[in-house]
Amino acid sequence: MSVNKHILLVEDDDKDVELILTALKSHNLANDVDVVNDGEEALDYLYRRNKYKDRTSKNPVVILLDLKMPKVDGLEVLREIKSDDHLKIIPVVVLTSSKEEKDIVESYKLGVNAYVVKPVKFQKFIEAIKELGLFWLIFNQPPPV
Amino acid sequence: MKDENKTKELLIEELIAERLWISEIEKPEIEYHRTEKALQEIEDRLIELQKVAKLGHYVFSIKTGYWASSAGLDDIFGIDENYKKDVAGWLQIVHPDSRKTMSNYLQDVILSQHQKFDKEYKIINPKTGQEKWVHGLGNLKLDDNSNPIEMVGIIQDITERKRAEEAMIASEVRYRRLFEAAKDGILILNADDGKIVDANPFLLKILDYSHEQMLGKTVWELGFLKDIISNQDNFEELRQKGYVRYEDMPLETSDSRRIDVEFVSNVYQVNNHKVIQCNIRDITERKKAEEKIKKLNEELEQRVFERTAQLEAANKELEAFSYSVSHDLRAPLRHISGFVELLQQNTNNSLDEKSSRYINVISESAQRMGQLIDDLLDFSRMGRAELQSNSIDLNKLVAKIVTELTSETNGRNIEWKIDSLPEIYGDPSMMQLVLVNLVTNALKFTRTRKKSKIVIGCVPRKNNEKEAVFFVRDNGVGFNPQYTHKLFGVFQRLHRKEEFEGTGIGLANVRHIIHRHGGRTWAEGALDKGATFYFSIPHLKSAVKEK
Repeated sequence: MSVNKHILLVEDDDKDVELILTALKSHNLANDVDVVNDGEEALDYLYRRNKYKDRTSKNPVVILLDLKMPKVDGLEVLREIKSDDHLKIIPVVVLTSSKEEKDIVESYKLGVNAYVVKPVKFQKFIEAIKELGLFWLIFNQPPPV
Repeated sequence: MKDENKTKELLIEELIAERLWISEIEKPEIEYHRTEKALQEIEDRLIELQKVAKLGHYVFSIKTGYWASSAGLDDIFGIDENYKKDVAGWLQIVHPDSRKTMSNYLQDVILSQHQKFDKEYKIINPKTGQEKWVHGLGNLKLDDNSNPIEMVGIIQDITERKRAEEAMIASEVRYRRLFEAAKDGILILNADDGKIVDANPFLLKILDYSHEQMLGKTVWELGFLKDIISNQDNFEELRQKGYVRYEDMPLETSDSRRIDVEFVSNVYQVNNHKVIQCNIRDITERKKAEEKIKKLNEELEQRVFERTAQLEAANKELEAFSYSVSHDLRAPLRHISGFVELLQQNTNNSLDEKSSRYINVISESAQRMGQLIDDLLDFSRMGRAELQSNSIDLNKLVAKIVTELTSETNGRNIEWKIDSLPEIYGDPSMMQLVLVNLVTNALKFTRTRKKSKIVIGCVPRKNNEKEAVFFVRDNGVGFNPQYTHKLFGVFQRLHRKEEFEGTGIGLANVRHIIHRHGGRTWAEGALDKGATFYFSIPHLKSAVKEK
């Protein structure tokens, strides 16, 4: 596994962050995760501005994106990413509590690559995160940078 | 009429002048210059002509009081040569209604004043009673002392003309009455000069004019039609077009009120001049009613608009609510569930039995809560989703559901009885949900039976019934009819979850879906004696309710 391959997790809920990281850690995937806590920070990260202006790492191989976040929400982040020529090649997976049809439809309209509902049951949650991590970090061939 | 009279008078004068008024009595006194044969020919022709003209002639000798008549006249009078031809005999022929008048006329006007006889009168056939109209003409011959000697004249049968005249008068009366009594204004104009020939009482009433104020004036002089006929040029246009119709035009009354009328005008020919007839209907009341309807409609639309806005707002709130539930309520549950799990892992199963049980309860409760939230969201989503309206083959749908559900029953002993079901219109995926719910329930609540019996059927259709009624019947644990009203409520359960699992959303969904299809749901059952769940679906495709 290359150290260059990493995930960007955009999640405002620190308990969810903890659970996600725990799940990834149990499969030795947690070292490759950058966490930002809202949409604004995610865009700063991707555009290397403000707090992230000195970021040297390559762009993530996948962005795990929560939808409901303060300031800039997930759909807005998605819209930004998918309308930016440089960023739109990064796969984005929406990882959210919401099964709302309009969220799902809107996400796909904006060009999301996958939509995953966080299961309430912990075992299933762990499974889902593990699959995601393995798929995007290990099996998926990311776009050439 | 005058021309006609003249012709007859002329004819008589000619007859006299040419001495052709020959009667048998006077024949010997006449000195003639023609041969007997020529005379006969002329007389024959005369008789012919008299027949054609329905004429007869007579000579009335005042001295003797007797009269002689030609064969044509005898025909008209309906008498023969034996009839007693004196004054009384003539009066006998005169219709009783006119007898007195005619008797006086003869005495006072003819014999006393020596005027010419010229009278139309009614006669009656003394034998048959048949009535006729005749026109009698006669000239007196006076002696040197100006005493009347005799009267010669002709009588013409004018019955047909009289009948035509009577018919004409009757027709005139009829149309006059229509004209007078019409509840439409009628205006008759002379098409040549635009002058008002006649206006019916109703028109005078709605315009508040008198007959005198209108008659003989031109329409542009009066000005009540000024929007159509303000001058002679307008009038000429109307005259040329021949037909004009205005659905709604204003008229001005004599006291400058405006009324709204429907105006139709036709030009037609009477003899050799043109007449314009205008029919004018006062539509003020109708327009008021229309205005009122329009206003009511507008109000209704406004109200519908407001209600729709309110509904939309309520729907928005509901959406926002369920969105928030969807996002925010599930997160803490996930955390409870997740961290309890992590706690278990951390303690490495070193917890005592009691603590372990507590942890399990927390975990299960969180999951159950999650399930409830999911169900609630599904239920609310179902109420908002758009309904399709397609034809659904229930036989196929039921077969598919039964096959799928049976595969999950682990070899239970189940007796299925599935009737042939009619086609319905509805939303296929929603209807599938209804049937899955009902059949799943039937399977669930017959689980304790050695042999589950499940019937899926359709209540035979009665005449004129607007809906098809379906049912799912089982021999399961049933329910206490006392709680029937709770069956279809959201999260209403009649069994403890330890007996039968479930959140209590299934039948609520069934009811919701069926209601949205314009149908009804109900149930019959008794404790331990099975249950039957019914639902109806309207036959009409259009019955599927909009959101």
